[in-house]
Amino acid sequence: MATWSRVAAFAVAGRLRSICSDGTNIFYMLASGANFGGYARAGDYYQYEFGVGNTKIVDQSNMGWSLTYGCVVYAGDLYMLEWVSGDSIFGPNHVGNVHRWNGSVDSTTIVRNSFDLDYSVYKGVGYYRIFADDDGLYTAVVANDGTGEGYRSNYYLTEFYNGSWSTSTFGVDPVEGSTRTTYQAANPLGVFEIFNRDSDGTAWVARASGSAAFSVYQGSPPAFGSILGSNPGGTLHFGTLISNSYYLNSAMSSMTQIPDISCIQQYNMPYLCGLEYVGPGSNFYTLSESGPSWTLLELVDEGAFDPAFDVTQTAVLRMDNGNVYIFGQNINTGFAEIWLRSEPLNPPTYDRRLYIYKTTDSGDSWTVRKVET
Amino acid sequence: MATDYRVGGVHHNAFDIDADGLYLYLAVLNSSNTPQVLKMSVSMTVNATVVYNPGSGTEIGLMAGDLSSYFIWAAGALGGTNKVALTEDGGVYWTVMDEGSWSGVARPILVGPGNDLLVTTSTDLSYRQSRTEGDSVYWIERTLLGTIWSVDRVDDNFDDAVVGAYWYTGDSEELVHYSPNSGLSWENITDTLTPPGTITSLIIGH
Repeated sequence: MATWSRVAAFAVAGRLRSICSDGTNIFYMLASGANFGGYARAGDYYQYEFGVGNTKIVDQSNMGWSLTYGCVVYAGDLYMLEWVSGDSIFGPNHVGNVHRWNGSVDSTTIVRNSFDLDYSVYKGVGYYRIFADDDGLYTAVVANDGTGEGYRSNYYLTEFYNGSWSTSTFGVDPVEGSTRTTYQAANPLGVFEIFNRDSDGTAWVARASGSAAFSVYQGSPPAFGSILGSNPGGTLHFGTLISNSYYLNSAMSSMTQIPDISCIQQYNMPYLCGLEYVGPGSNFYTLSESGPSWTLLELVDEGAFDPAFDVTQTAVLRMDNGNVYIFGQNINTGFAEIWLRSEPLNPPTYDRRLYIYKTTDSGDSWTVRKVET
Repeated sequence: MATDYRVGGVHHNAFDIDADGLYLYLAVLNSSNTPQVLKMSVSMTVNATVVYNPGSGTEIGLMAGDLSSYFIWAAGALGGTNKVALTEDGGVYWTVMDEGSWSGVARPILVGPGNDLLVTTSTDLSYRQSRTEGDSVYWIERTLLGTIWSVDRVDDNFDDAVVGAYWYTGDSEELVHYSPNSGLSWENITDTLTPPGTITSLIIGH
């Protein structure tokens, strides 16, 4: 039986929100939400390197005002999505920026700003996420016209590929009579959004893709509560309001109940892992790469997690070497905690892709291109 | 259709730029783990093209000649028994240059000075240097004590001065050696440094 041990704990400002890794031994964690004059303060990104043990803030001052960020490691660099919320200070527009940090200096560069949003129709709550696959870096933004129940959602899927950006825009109309939720997930197969109708439990899941098409699945699980994540194959995992969890396959043709997984690993990791919160301890699950079958590995020892460990703000990452880490925040101390499983899980067999980097100014800036024919 | 690549296995010779600085050559394994040489403009604005495909093999490295931009050497374990190939026209035609009797993998490789001289070692613990006379290629073979991980030349007098980073597997001793006579004899020059681990690469300032 594997055991879990806490390998790091350190203070962070605000709530732990985004966690990402390069797949080896470096982790980035965003804490944000500390109030400043009534507004959510920009987040602080912390870098933690196993084997070195230090933590440092890699970005703070350049970030705007936001409640939600995302981060992803792509081609060796850390990319962070900043969303500047509209308010009385900044006006009604909502502006998204992508920052890149290459580790050379303690500051970041805005590599993409002012997404091509149709500000004139944007009134509702936005949704935004950054993710990557082997072919590119993506940001997904959902805006709506805010006219009330059944309003149209406008999607903006922006792709960074071989040094240039392109944006696709398309819209999804919710099913008539449904209550729109704000639960979305994004992966390379598209942006998922749930339209929910509580009266009879019927729900619709819409998926928009870069081809400007969308598809809708009608299911009948209990009312959806949240989208937990999606895996590289496009399988969508989500929870319900009565604490069940389900997955929807990539073809959007069938839905199956799974253990109540509280968190799902990010896309750029090769496997999915999950935690089921069962009180002071948690059941640790893994999801096989080949299909949506979950295997209960063990109960995470009750002594491992403080009862105050906020599993809802948890991420599980499996590294290239098979090491498995759980990230979370102790709601009593506010400390970010990192836990390591004593036994690595099978490391992935995939190959990292080949990139070429070029500098023409002695390293101040770099051009990167994926090697392909 | 995009294909995913990874470094061809001879890491010290994973890529090189031609003598004119116009093209980047990459030694890769494709998604089927087959060695290939790719050619890409240094502007990096367009995808690479496959210019050498030996069809089978396990490892590949390359190095560009320093006189003509059209000379590119590739070495490793290529096409079954072949170890070394050369193009003299920027990758259009390739000629197998070794005698096909080596038992190991040709790595690392070192070209120059000039386009037609090649030194390479092999995992069969031998060291080889090419000689060309007209259209013929001859190989001089030396026996080594251990695996060479990296080679470089001290100056333009290639025949007389080659430095190799040795790793003697017998006693796990990491050494840097110098040869003043084309590998006929080697001198241990490691006494001024204590490597913290296996030496995998070295570069001589020119």
